[in-house]
Amino acid sequence: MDRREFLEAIAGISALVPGLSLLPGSDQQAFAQGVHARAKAATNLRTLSPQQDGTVTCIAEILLPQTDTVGATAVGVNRFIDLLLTESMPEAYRHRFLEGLAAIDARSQFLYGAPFTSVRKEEQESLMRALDVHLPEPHPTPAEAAALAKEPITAAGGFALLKRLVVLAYFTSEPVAKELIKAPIIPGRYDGCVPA
Amino acid sequence: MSPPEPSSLDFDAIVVGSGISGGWAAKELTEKGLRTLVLEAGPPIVPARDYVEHVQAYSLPYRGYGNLRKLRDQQPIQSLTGSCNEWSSKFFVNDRENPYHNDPDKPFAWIRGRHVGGRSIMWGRQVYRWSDLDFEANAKEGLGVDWPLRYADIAPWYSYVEKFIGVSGQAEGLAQLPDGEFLPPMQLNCAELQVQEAMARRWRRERLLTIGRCAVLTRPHQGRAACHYCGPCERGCITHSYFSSIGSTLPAAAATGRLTLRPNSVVAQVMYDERTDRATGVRAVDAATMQPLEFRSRLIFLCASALESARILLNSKTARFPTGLANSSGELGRNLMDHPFGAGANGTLPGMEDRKTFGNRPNGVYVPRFRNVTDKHPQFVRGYGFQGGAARRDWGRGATTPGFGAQFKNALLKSLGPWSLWLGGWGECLPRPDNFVALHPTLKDKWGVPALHIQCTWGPNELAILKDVQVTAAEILEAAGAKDIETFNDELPPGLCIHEMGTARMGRDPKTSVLNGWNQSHDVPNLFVTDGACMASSGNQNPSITYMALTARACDHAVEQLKRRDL
Repeated sequence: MDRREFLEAIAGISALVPGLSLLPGSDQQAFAQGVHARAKAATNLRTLSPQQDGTVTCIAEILLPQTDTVGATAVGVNRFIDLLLTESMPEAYRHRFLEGLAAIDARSQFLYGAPFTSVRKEEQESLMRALDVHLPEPHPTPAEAAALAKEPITAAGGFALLKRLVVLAYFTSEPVAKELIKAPIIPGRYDGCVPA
Repeated sequence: MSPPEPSSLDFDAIVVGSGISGGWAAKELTEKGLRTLVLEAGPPIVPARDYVEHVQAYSLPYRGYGNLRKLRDQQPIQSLTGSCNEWSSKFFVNDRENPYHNDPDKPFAWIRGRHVGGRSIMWGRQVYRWSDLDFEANAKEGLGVDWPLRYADIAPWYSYVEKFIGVSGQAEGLAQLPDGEFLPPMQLNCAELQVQEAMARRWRRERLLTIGRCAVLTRPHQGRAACHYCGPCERGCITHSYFSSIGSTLPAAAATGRLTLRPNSVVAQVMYDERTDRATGVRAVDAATMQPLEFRSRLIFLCASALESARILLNSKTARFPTGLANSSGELGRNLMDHPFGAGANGTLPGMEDRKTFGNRPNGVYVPRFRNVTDKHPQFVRGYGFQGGAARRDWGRGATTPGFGAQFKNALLKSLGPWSLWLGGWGECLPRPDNFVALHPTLKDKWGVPALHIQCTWGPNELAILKDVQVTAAEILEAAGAKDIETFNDELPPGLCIHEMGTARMGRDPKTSVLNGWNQSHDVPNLFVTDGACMASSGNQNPSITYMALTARACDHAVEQLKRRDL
């Protein structure tokens, strides 16, 4: 087993992933693609089908890509979302989330004649830009929120749900929180005005 | 059923409940020489094991998202409050074990903690004195009953309590919100300072912004360490830097050698002797073994929370008191109040992007009541205070901010969003006899104690307050130069502010009130109720400090009476 195989094998053991940022850029991309391919065929996901996982993983990596810092795939965003879907989310949420993924793929099919994972990168990004402008209002009234939840979910609605989870999954992952955000756990003081 | 555990123990006083009020009763009664039994319905808290304020999201199975399926199954009501989350849901009751009933169209959110320390473990820590504007309001407006005390009666007790628990805050010299015994205030941040200055220019002292007054230490105090600004107090505090009964009052009580604390003791009834006309003790159930228990004492303090204390008394019927012990007035269980909140405004403050805060301040800002202080509002009586604050959003903004790709990621990792500001109103609730609790005819909790039927709705005055809150919050944001101002009203049900009170009100007349001016039952003189049940009106201030002051004052009175053999 060479170093890359080793790293691929431990992907998902999040505590060890920060080591990835030591790889040169081209290796990182290759790594991300490798993980991507594996995720597509992942057998350890409990709720997401290979196609659904492909859509989640692909969108997550475009949202928060591998750069000189880890990307969504490398920290296992899809696995965490699968965990929430499997163990945490009430059935209605889970159903809505999966319907949202289907709506995104249907939109891609309508526009480009293929599901999201199978269209060109430019088409993926173009579709995401279109969906992204419809993020939910920060403060819908309770009545608006209830009415909205009864409507069939749109591709934009599905994208908003997914984006929310991708951001949560990425920034609460141990490598990102510990190595990149580095918020002090015990600051010891409060200062209301320091240089940003 | 096996016979009650023989009562080899004999106590001078029994305190039911170990939270904010019960802890104070325990401290005062034991320090005044009484052998005191504190009965707590739930299990003990072991800070080293149970407190999780430094546990990071990545160390939790669901990283703070929580197991929603389990929460909705076991704690559908408790999880309506944000502090019942993946870290701290263990500090809230299991709703299945602790049922109550309300009509579906009259929702009431009853949020409870059953463990040693009660809700002092996860309370909001905001501490505001009342003034005579509050104590005189019922009498002046002919609403409810007159408070049997005034500010001068309670002021020394506020000081007494504040000096012990430690309250940080800024003295402002306002008649409607008296200053207290303050430790140094926490800082306002740069954006809040800008709002404060803008408000002073526009309203001078009529509407002013001050740092929240809170029971969090800004320097070492009474053997407890100063706050280390980790942030999430509702998960516990290993240094006891915020006031909780298990970090402050209960250790003081234990130090006297006269405290017996019995966890897992679900009190069902107060026992009463018709011949002597005195309460003689309590009946309880051991929560773990279901064994019935009886304890006797000369003095009883109910500090189990407004609704639990009312439930115990309603469940203690006797020939003389067929509707519940100490209920000759018929007011027991009535006049339930909670503060209307969840409405206000938010916006963005441009500029200051080269500044940020350091540390997690467990406190916000406060705008003291300005309605119906000197003028008279045409739509409602009483008023409200604002709580809120300004902050720059961290990566969480990514969930609702358009954008993706490397630049988007880097911005979330390395920079902060603009300063956002929010203000929410906490309003006064009027006492109404048709907001009440009663024993449910059939529903019982896990320990066989009859459950409550709760009926509580907001009246026109509370709804008018919530409307005005949105208008004046937006005015303040506008004056401060905020952009993208948005008003909100989350239309929250009563109960969710977790300031429920009024179900055994104090008053001057035994015909219209349950307790006298010393929190003492008009009917049964050795019975005291010093939690939120005693409140004759609600004020708009967070009420815990008033419960503490009234408890200490009631203990002083009770012990004096015991010494004079009046009880």
